[in-house]
Amino acid sequence: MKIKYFILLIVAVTIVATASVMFYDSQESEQKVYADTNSYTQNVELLARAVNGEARGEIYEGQVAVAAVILNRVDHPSFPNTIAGVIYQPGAFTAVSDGQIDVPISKNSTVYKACQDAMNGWDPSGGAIYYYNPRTATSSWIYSRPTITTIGNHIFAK
Amino acid sequence: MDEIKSNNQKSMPKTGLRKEFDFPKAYYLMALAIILLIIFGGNAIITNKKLNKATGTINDIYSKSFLELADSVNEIDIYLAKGAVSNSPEYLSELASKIYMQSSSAINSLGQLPVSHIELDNTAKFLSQVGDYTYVISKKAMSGEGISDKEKNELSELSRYADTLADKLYQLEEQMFKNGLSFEVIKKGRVSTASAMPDLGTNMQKIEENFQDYPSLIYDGPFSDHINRQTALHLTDRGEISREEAEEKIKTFPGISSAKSIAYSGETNGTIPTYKYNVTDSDNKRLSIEVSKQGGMVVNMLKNRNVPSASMSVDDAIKKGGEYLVKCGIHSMKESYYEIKNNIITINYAYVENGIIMYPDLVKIKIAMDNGEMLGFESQGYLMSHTENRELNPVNVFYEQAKELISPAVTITDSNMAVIPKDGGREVLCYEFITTLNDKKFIIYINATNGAEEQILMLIENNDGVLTL
Repeated sequence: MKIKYFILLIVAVTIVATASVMFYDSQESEQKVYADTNSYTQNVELLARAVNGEARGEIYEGQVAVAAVILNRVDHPSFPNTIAGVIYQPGAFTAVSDGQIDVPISKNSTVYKACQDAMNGWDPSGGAIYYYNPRTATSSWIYSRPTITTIGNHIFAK
Repeated sequence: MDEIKSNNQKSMPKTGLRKEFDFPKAYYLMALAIILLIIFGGNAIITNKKLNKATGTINDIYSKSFLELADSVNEIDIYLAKGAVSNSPEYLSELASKIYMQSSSAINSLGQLPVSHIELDNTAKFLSQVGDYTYVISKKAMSGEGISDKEKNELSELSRYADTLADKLYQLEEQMFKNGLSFEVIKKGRVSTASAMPDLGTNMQKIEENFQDYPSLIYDGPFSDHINRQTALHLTDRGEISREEAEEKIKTFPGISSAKSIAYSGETNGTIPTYKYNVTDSDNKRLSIEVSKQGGMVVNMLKNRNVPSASMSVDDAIKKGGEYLVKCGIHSMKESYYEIKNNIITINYAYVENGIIMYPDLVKIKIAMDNGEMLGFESQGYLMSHTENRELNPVNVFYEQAKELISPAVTITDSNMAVIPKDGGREVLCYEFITTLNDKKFIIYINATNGAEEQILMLIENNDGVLTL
């Protein structure tokens, strides 16, 4: 008699717990926020999210420079030809692989303004197509690229 | 079990306590342990299943991208081979369009593969240039210019590379169907053992080795190698300045109102080598400014300040910008397009000479619409393209003739002459016609030498400014 109660208790608690975990799981996946559909604003939004993930604490022109690197890559023959293509290229930006690309950005934020400046032609990176943080860069190859300039924590290279 | 129990029952004294211990603590703990095990174990199994499904989907996408890449390169190979024997510009043009489409698709597919950029630098460049280059060559053929021997050689080089790439990818494809293709990144030092499964990264690296001698191609297209090697025309004959001279230049720069401090912050070795400075303005806000080493011209300036409201009109802001330009020593500039965001207006100014608007000579200024302060300055376009000795294409088409060439569907509201930049960096002198069709504004550029339609821009005007597409 007691063993039956025992087993019943285990089954009941398991069902309740599993059900609540699955419910919670499905709730979480609804929370992604998608950017505007208008092409120009969509590109700035995507750019802003990437720059936010990569250069959040940097000084203003450092953020403009990171955005400029992405735009320079779009124009460069060795990289994809769209902003989305460059940003989502597998392994290219940590902001994409660790999910920071999905964090929505306010249109009044500094990062957003920095991206608008980059889209309008400001390029403090001097035409760079690479940048890295020397304190955290894992690829030794990146150090072989000629340096253009250093802004904040990032070295910009071609 | 029962026997032991009954023995215990016999040896233990019968007290009230024993009744409360019918469900000993051990059982509670065991129950808890089993429940947790089932929950976590179950969760792990479910999560693992989800993970496998997701990995499966990703591998499917990677496989698709890889196969589409191999397919596109194969098509490019065939079209280039046909191009080598084609004798009519029309057919070559058809081939070029097809190659362009396949090259676009190939670059797109390549960009979706988990291969690091190092492993496909020249391969990617080849794919970008092959479509671009063939298109430019076919345009030359169509216009009657003919293809030079050098260009014929370059086309056959491209064909050779396409052949090699198609071949290697096909071999990899065969391996993929035989053993599967791994898309995992193999860390350096770790040897891919056990599975006979080839991995994409290592194999792409081997393919890239075939492109070590890939030639530098210079032609009239956006992906030509000369695009990244241009020098600033406006600065070529000027001497290099020292850091002290650069600092003097900054002090006289109109955008900086009585700066509190100027600190050197390094140099850049990019398209235009510069000295960089951090300036603390009189309002304690920071701005960054770059001065070219050659000629000491301000290349760009940026000040980030929140502008809470606008009290200037667009016209006043444009006039203010014009004044700043004169103070910078940049004359004869006319505003073209502008954009207002967050109470800051970004205005494009282009150089005008003899009534001709030189669009490549561009300076952009950001003005705060509360106090008219300059928050941004960008003159790279002007510095790269502006020269007093411009060699322009001759005017062989008269205004009236050019007007005839405009589509009868539009209404012409204004006209100008202008020099516009083309994809390959070339400049073309054109007639600029501002037209409307069904409430949409279009700007049509007619080549002043041969009457060709060089460019059509669509204008979107609203309260926030003018956008050209």
